[in-house]
Amino acid sequence: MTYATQQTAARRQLEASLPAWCALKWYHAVICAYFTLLFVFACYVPIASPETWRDVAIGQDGAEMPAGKTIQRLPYADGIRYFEADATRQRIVAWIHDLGGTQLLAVAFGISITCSMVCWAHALYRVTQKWYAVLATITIPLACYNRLSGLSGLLLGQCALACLVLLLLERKKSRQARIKWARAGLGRWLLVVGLIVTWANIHLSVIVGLALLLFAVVERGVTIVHKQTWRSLTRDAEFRRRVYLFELCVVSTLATPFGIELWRAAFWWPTNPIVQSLGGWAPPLMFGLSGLAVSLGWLVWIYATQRGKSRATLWSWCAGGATIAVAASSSAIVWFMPLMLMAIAAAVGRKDYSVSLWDKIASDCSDISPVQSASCGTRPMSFAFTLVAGLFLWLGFCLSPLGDVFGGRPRTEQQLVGKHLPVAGRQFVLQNVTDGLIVAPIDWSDYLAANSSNRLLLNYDVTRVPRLVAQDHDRICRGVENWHDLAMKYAVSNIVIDKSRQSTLLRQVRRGIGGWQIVFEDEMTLIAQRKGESS
Amino acid sequence: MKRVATNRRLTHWLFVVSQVAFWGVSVCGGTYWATTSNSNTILPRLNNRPRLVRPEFDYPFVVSDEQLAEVLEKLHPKFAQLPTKVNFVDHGVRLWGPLATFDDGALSGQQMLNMLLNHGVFAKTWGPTAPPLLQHTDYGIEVTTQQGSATVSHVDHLMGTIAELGLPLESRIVASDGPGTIRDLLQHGLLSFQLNQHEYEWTALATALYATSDADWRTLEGELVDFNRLAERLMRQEQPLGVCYGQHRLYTLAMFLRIDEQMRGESPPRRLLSAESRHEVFVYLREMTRKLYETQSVDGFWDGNWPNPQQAVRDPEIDVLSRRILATGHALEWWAMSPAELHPPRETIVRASQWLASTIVGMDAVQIEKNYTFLTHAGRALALWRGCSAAEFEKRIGVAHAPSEENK
Repeated sequence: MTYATQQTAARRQLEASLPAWCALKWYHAVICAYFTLLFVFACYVPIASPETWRDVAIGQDGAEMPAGKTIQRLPYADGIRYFEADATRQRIVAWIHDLGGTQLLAVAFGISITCSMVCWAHALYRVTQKWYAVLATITIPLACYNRLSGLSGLLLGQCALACLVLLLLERKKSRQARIKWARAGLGRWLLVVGLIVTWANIHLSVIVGLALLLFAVVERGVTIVHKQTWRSLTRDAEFRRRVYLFELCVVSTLATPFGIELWRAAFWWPTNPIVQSLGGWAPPLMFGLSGLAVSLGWLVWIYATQRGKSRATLWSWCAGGATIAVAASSSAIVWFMPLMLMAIAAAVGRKDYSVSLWDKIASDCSDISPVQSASCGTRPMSFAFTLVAGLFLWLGFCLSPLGDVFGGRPRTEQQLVGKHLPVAGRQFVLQNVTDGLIVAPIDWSDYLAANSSNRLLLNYDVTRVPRLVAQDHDRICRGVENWHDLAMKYAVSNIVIDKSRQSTLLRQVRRGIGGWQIVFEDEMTLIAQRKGESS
Repeated sequence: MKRVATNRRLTHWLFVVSQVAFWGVSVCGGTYWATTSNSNTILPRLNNRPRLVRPEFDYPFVVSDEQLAEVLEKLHPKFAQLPTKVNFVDHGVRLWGPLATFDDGALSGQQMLNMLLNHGVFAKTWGPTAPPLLQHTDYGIEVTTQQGSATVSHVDHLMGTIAELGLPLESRIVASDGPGTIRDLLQHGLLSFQLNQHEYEWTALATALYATSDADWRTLEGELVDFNRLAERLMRQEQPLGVCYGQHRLYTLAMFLRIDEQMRGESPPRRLLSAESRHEVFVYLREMTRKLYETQSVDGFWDGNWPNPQQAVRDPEIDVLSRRILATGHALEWWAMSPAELHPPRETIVRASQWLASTIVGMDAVQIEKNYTFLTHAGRALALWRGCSAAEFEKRIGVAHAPSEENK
């Protein structure tokens, strides 16, 4: 064999063993690097979200502790009307924590947010057929950083919405990005229904998914009425199918442990569980992050619609609905951002509706000239960027916490949760405080109570207890004049003080008011017990 | 073609029918839930007349006829300072009842009741500038509390008094802004109730006396309250925390046991407390009896630090004699209404009652008036140990009283 032949043979070894779609382009490597970086970054975000720790602590509620007794984390929540919509998700999060500790929570968060961004990226690509559209997903974690900084129901809900949007989009060659439900297969119907059932069991933001499906129905209805007449509505197969899909999904929300009680609870007021799940009444500041994101989003959309091919009504309507939601609650930014991106992407329009993502990857002739294309059958495929992408994935794996399988020093608890949670204080509570009632800042409460049998006066979910209890908790934490009497009223046995935020209470305790005994102190935390309580 | 057209018609009508069904059910269900989900202030079913819970013991060795007669004569509702405090009248009517009459110029029971429940009489007594005692709210009629001498001193104490006196809910009262009934008083107390409010003992007692069963109710805040939860609340705090050195809590718990016992004996049997809750209350009160037994002074009294005499009292500014009368009188009062199994040894009761009786007899009119509210509890306790109310005792021993102007 000559040298030239050997070289040619060597170059074609990968070509012989790998299929054509493995020959990635440079932009595939860029996308791979982007998501790998996102994953690694997310894995190192401190697990400091009060919502995550609330899920861990409450998920353990009712579980049997090693001491052999079940715990009731919030004794003063007894009797208050509350809808236990998050029980399934909380048990899952608690189970993850029990399985692998805070480290596994970090990995789970990284995986969740990366999956969500991958789904949104895929959706944007399907709408635009432009590879760089996937990079626009970086705006989602940037704008929603406050809301998506922990493994929470909102994050999982956003992931579910992304999956639903993908299911509404066409995968194969089509003029339209969106699927025709009149011709959709049974599998797709089952996938949508299954997704809704899963979503309903995870978080009450399933209502957002139902709203999206309802928007799709209304959009079709308006289109038909606009082009034809009202009577044509019931005769339009696509309209009928969308209505059936919407109603089927509504009915499928009954496949949860609470069944029809979910819809009964939808009429509760003022403690409406759906409103609270979506963030409650919390209008954002106009010049805050949410306000700016909304303003910029619409400006870009206006620019895109003027330059682009269509206004793509459904996504624009959804973005409009999400804007109203953001005006009522800043948490709705997690829905607004991706839907706005979809609206902008749809306004820009599709470059080439006939090419699917996989066809594009497989095509190694799409970027070369007609002269060269005659000889493209003999040109060897290049797997260089495939290897680069593989390298990124490997680096991502090694640099992420998953790389700990190769040895090395695992991160400390303080590194895992960040500098705002009292790690040493929690360790003291776990070892020395058993079966007591704890008062602590609400963003610390669940972290302190997790993995212990201790009970809390109040946790991050302030609506779970009577209003008076929440007010008294606040008075105790602020060290008001009769804070000690209030603490005695609730038989509080332990007070955990954030030295940087509770200076008044700190001073009072140091002066010995109420006879509280300091049992632990470090730079961040001071823990006091009532005299007579055993440590 | 014909088949296709038929199929299309069928599909069309199937769609229309399914939509009518789906949206019809949804709208009807939604309307029903919207109107019922938030009408959650369901009050417990109440008897018109409260239960009568009578003392079960008549022990002359606790206090003799002569001693009790002397004590009760000192406690006739006759006040030098006029107008007197509403608090005194409120406690006075609780001690003497609505039928009591006196021939020494003391207020009769009916007079005291009218002063409290009729705004016209109230305004004549305390003047038009005093804040009204009774006024209508969105929930019922509110009793002005802890806002000066022309108001009551404990939340729902008036309601508890009315319940113990046996007044029916339909009894008419006159608030500052219109007439009402006693039911309006109780309704306001129940709807505005918060389990963790500072004082809750008298609301719990009044509700238990009018209750037909252990049914729960939901407050305006949406909190579900029943008597088991109330019992937990009463037992929650350490002693002697709470009003009157925590003794109101013990009295209410003792009454819960008695009411529960009465309900269980009825046909069909009902209950106020669950078996578990009843047991917990019993164990708790027995523990309190043990503490009182261990900490009784040699002379027989207790002070504000009764659970632990080594600790300082929480209110040292109050006269020591007042504190001792308060603590001792309340302790004897709840024991008098408790089942016998919760009583301490006889000696403990006798020492306490003898100290109380001799102390009261030795007090002058000024001291009596100054400590009148505490003394009513003491006087009532001593009468209860003789198996009757104060008015019944005076009638029994034949203390003559002229009929009052009100009762003629």
